[in-house]
Amino acid sequence: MSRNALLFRLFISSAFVPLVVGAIGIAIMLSWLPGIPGSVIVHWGLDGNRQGEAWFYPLAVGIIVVAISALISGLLARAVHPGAPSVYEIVLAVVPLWISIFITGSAVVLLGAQRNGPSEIGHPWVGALASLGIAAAASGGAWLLLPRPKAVVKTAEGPEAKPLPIEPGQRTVWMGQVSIRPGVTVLATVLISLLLVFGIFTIVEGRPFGWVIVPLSIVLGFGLSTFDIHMTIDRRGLVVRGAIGVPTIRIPLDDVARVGVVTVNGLVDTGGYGTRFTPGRRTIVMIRSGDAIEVLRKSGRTLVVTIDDAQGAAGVLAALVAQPVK
Amino acid sequence: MIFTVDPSSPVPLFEQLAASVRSELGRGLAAGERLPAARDLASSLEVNIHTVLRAYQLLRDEGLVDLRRGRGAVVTAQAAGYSPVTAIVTQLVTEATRLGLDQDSVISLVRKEFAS
Repeated sequence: MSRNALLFRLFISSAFVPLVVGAIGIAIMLSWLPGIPGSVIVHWGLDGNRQGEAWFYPLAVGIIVVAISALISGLLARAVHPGAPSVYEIVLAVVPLWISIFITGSAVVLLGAQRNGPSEIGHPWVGALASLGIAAAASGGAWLLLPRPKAVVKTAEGPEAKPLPIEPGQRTVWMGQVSIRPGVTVLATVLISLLLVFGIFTIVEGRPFGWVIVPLSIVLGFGLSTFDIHMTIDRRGLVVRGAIGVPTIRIPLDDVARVGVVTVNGLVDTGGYGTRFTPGRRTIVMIRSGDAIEVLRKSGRTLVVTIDDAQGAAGVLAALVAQPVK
Repeated sequence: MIFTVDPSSPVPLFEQLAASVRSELGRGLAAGERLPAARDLASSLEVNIHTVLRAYQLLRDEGLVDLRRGRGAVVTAQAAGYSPVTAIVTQLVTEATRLGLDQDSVISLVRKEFAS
């Protein structure tokens, strides 16, 4: 399937249907607005004030549906290649459809129950559950209509790396690292630190939810540390290590069956970023999209690590593996 | 970054290591990029940590890296600027030595190239 034909079909699910559903829901809600007196109950708000203007419902639906459709369609447009789509592309394309039906349906039900003045709907979760069911059914339908995803890669797929020439007696080492953009790292660090400080203050003030915030910020900080990856390739083998030791993956040279370089896209190939275990016994350390070193182990497992200068890393590893053991 | 040393070579290890970093600069290291921690590099290359530190000091004296306590060796803006030429010169000298050309004949070849 050509890239454009595939994109067109993905866009039906990621943009066209979600936007139509959202527009219909907004039109229904707007037609009710003149008849709704004063404020209604909105079911969000941080300050515990659950009253709000009725127009908030169609506005929120509009913003959410347009934002999610644009975001996902944009990501797909950047990532899609000709041929069969990956399973993650399909999942991604179905997300806006699902969210649009769920959000629009919930808003229509919640606002519809308040057309004669503010009232808590008897069981709001009934409406929410119904929307969830409809959304799940629609997603299933889209899944059936969209093209079949290609089979999950079982073994190494990239072209085999050419060993770098190493003279006998030479000791060659490759060292490199990869992390998310420095600006993003700094921003995330600042935000997580602020969250931690906020959590500590709330505990000191005696509010119980600080006990949730503090562990949460620690978990987030820990998660961030796994996005700073260092890789060393030397006579002992290959070591991948996160900033504070998680993840740590070691592959001795005599366990390496094949070294290659692949180009991977975080969303299309693995459905996200971070250290992931995907079908086909592949472990993927996905920090950013782009070139990655791909190491097939003798056990049949594959390790893929996105890294700067993947070509150089693969060349050195292939050369070290080919070197006679002393 | 690829680092290579050959213990059987008559060239001192720290000079080999410095040359290795120079040729990495030629492959396009950006200003602000950090060289590996001396301890890690030493254990990977199976050399003494002082050998690595001496190589880093040599590169600092050449203005190619900054050595800062706690931050390790960082590529300077100057190094990133002229690195491609440095690497080619390194290559030229290596090749010339291999072919048995002496310093004067190489320099006269370079002069000739400039004049043409």
